[in-house]
Amino acid sequence: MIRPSVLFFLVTAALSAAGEHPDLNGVWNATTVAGPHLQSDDPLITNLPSRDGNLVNYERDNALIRRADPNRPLYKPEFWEKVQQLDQNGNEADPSYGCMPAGVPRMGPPDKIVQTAKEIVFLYVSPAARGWGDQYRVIPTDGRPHTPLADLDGTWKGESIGHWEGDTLVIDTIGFNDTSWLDYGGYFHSENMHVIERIRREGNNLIWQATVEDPDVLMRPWVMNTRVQKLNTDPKAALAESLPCVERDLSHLVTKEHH
Amino acid sequence: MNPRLLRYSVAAALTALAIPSLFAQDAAATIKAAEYALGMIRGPQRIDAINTLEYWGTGFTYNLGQAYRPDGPWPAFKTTYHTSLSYAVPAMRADFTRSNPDGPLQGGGLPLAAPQRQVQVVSGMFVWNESVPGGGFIPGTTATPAPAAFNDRMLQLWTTPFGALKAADRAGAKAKVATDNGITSITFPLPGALDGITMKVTLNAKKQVERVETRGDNPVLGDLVTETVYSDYKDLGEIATDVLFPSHIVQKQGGYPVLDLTITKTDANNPYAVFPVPDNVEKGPRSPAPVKVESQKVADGVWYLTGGTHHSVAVEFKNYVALVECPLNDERSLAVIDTVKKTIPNKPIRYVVNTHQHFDHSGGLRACVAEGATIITQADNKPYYEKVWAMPHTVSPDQLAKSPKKPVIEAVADKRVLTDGSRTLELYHLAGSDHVATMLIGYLAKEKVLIEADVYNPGPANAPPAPPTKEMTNLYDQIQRLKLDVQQITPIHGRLVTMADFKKAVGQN
Repeated sequence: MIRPSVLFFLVTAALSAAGEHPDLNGVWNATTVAGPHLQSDDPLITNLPSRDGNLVNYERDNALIRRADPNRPLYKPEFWEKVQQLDQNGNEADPSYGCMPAGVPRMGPPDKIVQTAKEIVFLYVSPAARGWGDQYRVIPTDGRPHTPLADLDGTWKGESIGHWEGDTLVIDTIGFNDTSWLDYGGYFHSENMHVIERIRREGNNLIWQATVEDPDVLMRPWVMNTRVQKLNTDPKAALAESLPCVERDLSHLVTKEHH
Repeated sequence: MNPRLLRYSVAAALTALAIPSLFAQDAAATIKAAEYALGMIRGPQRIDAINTLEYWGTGFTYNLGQAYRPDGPWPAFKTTYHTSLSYAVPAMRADFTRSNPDGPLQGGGLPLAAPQRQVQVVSGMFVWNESVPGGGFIPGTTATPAPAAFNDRMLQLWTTPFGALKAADRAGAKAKVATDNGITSITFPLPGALDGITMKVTLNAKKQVERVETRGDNPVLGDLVTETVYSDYKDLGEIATDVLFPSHIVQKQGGYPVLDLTITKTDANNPYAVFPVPDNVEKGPRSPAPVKVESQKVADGVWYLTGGTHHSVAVEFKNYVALVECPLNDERSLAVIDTVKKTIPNKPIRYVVNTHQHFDHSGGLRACVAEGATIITQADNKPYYEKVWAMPHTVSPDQLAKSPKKPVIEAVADKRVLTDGSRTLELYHLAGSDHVATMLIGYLAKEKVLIEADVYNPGPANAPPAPPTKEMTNLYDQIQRLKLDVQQITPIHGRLVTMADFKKAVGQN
């Protein structure tokens, strides 16, 4: 537990670095990722942290555990079958498997934030689940309003406008295409989706929450699982370049197994 | 016997008795092993990864308590089945369509004029029926509260192989494991709203759930054992998951199948098994409507007792009352008896006429036995009632269990007449019915009133006319054959009608 005096120091330091708002600047990629950690001198199978030490089981179990998450967007009943079909055929239907960007909100919290008085820049390095390619978002915080929805071309990331509510950065995004998904599981959305992200800093943790409103297809707003990014305190911390994506797996898949 | 030999013999006997306990195992480990055997335990974290499940199947469902003959099998319906479950909520949606079997069309519920779809849902504390999946949220669809079905549906959810193991896990120290003759079983009490029900799970040699037994209450059969047998476990997913589910499910109640399904497909953790509660269900009744009995005089000394789904008719004689039908259960019967005592004070209910043995028409008879009435029923029902009424009622003791009394049952082969000289109630065995083999109808000769059950259920007066059923035609023919001069009909279901109404409905006007 952080002592109150230390917490006060951290908050004060953060506020002073970015003026009146908390300082979100930094590389937020220090999260420890659980998963296989192979060593060169270990046989592959025996050290894989999987059921019975089996590589197929590793994929199969992870897919099952991921699908066990009870936090699901609640679609209108007329779309239940569509969601199931998309999920069943996720290997082909999920745009993130086709080298497409994840889009907002699936791309989640950024790996790096550059904060100025009038705008905030989010930089993303993209593992497969978050789409492909190094991504960025430039988010004005100068108080401007949204462009009228009718004037926006639907895009993967939409039009994001930020403002501060106390110590929380609130990002309001509209103007999407209907191609991206909210997550695995066939969670599609319409062009009328509205996403509200709330980001705050607690010490060296960046707390990201997102709420998806899409009355065209959802029965009620969906509050996504909160995600936490840790500040990389290495002064030389940098973002690695994303690998280029060339889809070459799909034609070789012989089952619909989730990955 | 030599004292030393006796000591050895006693010791050997005690050892033999102790063998099952020697094999008693740690319940948590046994449950975990069974969960692992079904593919529930996954990942290096070894967590129970099954939250939702869907399965599809075809086979038969059966109407419990609606046999054509007493002691016969429950009538069968061909059925396609699709069930979605969430163990986390917990919730279940059973979406099934029943049609007529290829075999004989005899028994309660048969024949169906057209395939009949039912969508039954339970979610948390709410229970309802949907006209289509998601009914109530889609314009033109409906969701109808069904609070009385809570226990049955929740029990079905926890009776599934995964559900049973999860329930065993949640029972903690209350779960007991025993091994007898190499067969391992886990016994535990169910939690929450199902408190009071004990579940017994038997594992096969592969540690898969082979059999689940629960003991509940049935107004006719008493302590009702529901036995579900699971066999031929496979990964039935279109997408392989290593989650094993039985490809054959047979559930029995009262010794006969109520469900016999061949499972064709499963989907474990389908992310789209959801159970939103419609507004009208959330704001609707949480418990069944209270029992209500309304008394309507239809002729001198004749009262039609309505107010629910199943009616009764009270007939006043000089020194006693004859009551036609004690339906459903103790609660309904006791309310009917109470109304009779208020309507016709100071006369005992000497006879209770039972129209037929279907459980919804015989479930209240035990309360009438406790009241001291003689039960008059068709002859073939007598040995059946003598058998089933002797069975224990310990789960939910009814009036007769609390005040045991030897039932007095009078059998009617074809005709019986109750009379005191001024009023006559004639009882006839209704021949030719495919609904049930043991139907009695009543006829009050002076009052020209016919009493019948199930073969003619008149709908609301303003309902559009429906084509006559075979049962209605048979009733009409039997009225003619018996030369009954009927002016009014007091159906056990529906409403008071005239013979002219019936003739019109049966196409004889």
